[in-house]
Amino acid sequence: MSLLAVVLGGPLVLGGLFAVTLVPWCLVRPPLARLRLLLVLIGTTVVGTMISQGFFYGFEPRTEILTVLPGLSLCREGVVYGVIVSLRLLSVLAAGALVVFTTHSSDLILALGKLRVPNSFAFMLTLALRFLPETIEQGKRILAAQQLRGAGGRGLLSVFRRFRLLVVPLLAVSLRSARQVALAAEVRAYSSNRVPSRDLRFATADWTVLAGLILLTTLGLTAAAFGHGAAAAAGIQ
Amino acid sequence: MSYTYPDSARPALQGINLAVPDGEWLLLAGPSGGGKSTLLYVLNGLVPHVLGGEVQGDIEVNGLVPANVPVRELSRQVGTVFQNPEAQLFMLRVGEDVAFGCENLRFPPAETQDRVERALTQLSLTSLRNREVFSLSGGQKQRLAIAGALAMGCRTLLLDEPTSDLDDASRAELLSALRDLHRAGHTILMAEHRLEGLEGLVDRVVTIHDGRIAPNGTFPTQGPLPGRRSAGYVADSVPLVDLRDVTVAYPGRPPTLKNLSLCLRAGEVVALLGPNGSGKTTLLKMLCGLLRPSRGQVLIAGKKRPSISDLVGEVGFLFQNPDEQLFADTVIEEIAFGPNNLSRPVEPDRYLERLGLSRYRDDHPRSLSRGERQRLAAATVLAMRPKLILLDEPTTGLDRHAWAVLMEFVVEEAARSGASVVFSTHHAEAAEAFAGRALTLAEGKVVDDRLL
Repeated sequence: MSLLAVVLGGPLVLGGLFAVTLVPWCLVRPPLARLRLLLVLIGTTVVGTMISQGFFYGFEPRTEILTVLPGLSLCREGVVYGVIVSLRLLSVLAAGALVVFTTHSSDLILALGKLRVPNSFAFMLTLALRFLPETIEQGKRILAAQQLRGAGGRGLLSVFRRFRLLVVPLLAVSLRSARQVALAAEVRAYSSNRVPSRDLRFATADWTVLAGLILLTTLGLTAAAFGHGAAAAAGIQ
Repeated sequence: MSYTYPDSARPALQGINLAVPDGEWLLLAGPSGGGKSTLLYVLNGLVPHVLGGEVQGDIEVNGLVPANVPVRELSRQVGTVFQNPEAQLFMLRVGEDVAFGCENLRFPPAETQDRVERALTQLSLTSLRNREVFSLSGGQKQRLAIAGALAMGCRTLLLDEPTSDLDDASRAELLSALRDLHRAGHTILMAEHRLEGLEGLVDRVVTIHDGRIAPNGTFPTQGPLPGRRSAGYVADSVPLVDLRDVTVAYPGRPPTLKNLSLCLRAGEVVALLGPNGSGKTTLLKMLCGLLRPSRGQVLIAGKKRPSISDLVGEVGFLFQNPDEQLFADTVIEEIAFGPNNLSRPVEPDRYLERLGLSRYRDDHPRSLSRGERQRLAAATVLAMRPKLILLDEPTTGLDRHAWAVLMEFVVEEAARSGASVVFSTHHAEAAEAFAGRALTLAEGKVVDDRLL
């Protein structure tokens, strides 16, 4: 997807590409709340990029459609370019987010192991994911305790002071629990070359998707070569 | 057997003679800091392999001499479960965590899966296999830690205050799981200072005090608490806290508080009871302005729907873990910090004297023991002279003597200044001894409200 998003050009072709990335999203049926968030993100990205490119498009020709101030005007080529840029971005993001959204963190970490990422690094990542929520809660409690003891205040100086006041106890608490975690790992025979009891393998569905993606990429590359590429689209109109 | 930690002058254990027959459930009783945990660490090899120092005398565990065998090797014989359920689970999902030890021991995948299956069944966790670890209750987490040890092949279990962080329901659930393991022939050594309900279960009790085994081998009896009831509230005073039909809900989840109404007056001491997840912590957070309800009226210390900054100096909050509220360089500065911020008068030395901490006046707060740090944290809250003092589970993680001293101090100081106290606890005994009123929450509602 990312490769195609770079080589392909033209709003219609990129729009088609983005639509393809949305097909699996429809299949996984994201909850309504997330969908709403996704739509807001897509909307602001497209509109924001259209407007900013519309104003600041630096190439010729420029067909001005709206003049706000002398020297600051919206041009049609810029708006079209904005659509292209945001569709590229969205195709890449939608495809990447799909992986994170549909895969459990444990499987992602297991996949890292398969990609020969060192086990100790993968374990560190697991621990970070495991303890992050609690650390955030601790940080909130520390700040609340300090605020109730009058450590509030505004201004840059008090922000620095509060940062120091937050970091010292947070580190102390984390180090204390890190020590406990280390002892507990020790009695569970912690070793950096663990043998995973689960394996990740490509199933038929994975092979089908991979084949589909290769086909799509080939088609896209062919299309790019025959006049729908980014280079051709740059000379649009 | 004797042992001294490398950075300490005093031996942690001295002249210990102890034999535990196969299949026995032995309770190690005694105060915090007495040496119970150290004895367990000697048996699982953390002493001396990880924690250093030198062990004198002869020790044998299932035919192995711990000092001569790596911890990794011992971990196949003796499984260890620690007090804090959070700090001993490593993986994100239940099944994966049970497999963790086996994977470390490099068992073939099929064998690991087999062992995991058996351990899950033994601890009745099969239905939770794919659950996220963080979503489990405290009791389930402790059972999960035991399952992880059993999967590694352990016949002997070392439990270091496994029930001290649990509410009554979770604790009962864990004790019944242990009873089943004991019946199945596992040897259990359990250090614990919460003794309720253990008398009929364990085979034998040994009390460890100041690093020595106390000569008396009978079940320790608990003396009366230094109870100090509050004189009660001033009946015609303006309510300090007035909550009406308060609901707290997070999107996509059942509400944590449902149509809760509550009126508190100056001078009241209230115990909040109820199982974990019943809304006790949410209520405390709301009482200090950390959280605002999605519906309902809130009036605290004369402020409507206050945020935390509206309640500075009016409300004090003592958390479960004292380290979250200690950050000054000396004990005396720690107490003066709050009052100085608000330019309020304070006599820090009076608190130190009252708490027996005067000799640590210029020491670093973190050099104190856990019980002392908890008392110091309480002093930092009380020194602000708040009208409302909130305590989140002050009885958790401390032994009975330590929490009784803490509660007596808080209630006494509150009575001096006419402040109200609200504390959550799963010790009915603490409520009886220190509160004038007990509120029981269940599923976000007040199900019982009575004067004691």
